[in-house]
Amino acid sequence: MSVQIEEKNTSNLTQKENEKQNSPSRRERVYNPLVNVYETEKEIFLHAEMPGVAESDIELSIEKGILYLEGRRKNSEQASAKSEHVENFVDVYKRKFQLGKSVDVDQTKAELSNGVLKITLVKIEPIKKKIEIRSN
Amino acid sequence: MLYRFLENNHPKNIWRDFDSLNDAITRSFLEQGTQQTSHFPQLNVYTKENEAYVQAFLPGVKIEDIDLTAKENVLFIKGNRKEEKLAEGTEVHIREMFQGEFSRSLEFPFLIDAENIKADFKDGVIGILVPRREDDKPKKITIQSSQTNS
Repeated sequence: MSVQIEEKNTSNLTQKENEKQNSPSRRERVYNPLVNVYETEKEIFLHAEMPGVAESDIELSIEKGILYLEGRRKNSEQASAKSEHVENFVDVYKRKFQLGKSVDVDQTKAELSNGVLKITLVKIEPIKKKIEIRSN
Repeated sequence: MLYRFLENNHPKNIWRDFDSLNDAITRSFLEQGTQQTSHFPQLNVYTKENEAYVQAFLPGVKIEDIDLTAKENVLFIKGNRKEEKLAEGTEVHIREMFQGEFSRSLEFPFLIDAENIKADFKDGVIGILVPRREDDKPKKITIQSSQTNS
């Protein structure tokens, strides 16, 4: 069984976008969120870890069979505090997936629960239409 | 300041080791750009003079499954990230997220005022404000000049 969702062109630090959006002082740190992908008979579930991202800072879109997800974290580092030890540097979580099956874009649902974005994609059967061949 | 991370002490389970090895190998091939999570939860530590602010990244963990304790100069974060319940016949395509029991401890260079720790949980991140115990704070000593006016 082939994987129905495959990752599309994983570039971790999309430099051009970084330069465009950020102040010259510090480059934005973009990371892939970790994901789990499940599939049932009718649906595909994609769960992505985005701790620290508020619901309003998540952007999700589907275009030409590619699912784009992006979540921006507003860092709560206190200005007066010194960074002693940092393991999670994320400013932006970003990842895209090529959907291997047709999905009903209008029925796509997403919810954020404790820092995990849960996306439900409803599969649709590709429409098959028989074309009659007429002979002259 | 010296902060020390004590190792994860997962219960010994050969299958877990095997799984994580397998995951690591698969990931190293397939997910080269993916953020490496060698530890769960990831911790960020910020410090001020007499307090520290710790962020623990616990996406997908329920608040009741997190156990936060402090003793002397060590803060312990333990818990369980439960397996997602899947309907029968569900096919798993990608599984990168950590699951199971976790435990991390962080040693502080001061004694913790456990009574006054403040912790809040938002969007899968616990923010923990760890104050230094009052009797552990350095005392300022006034130096008296002993000039003799002669």
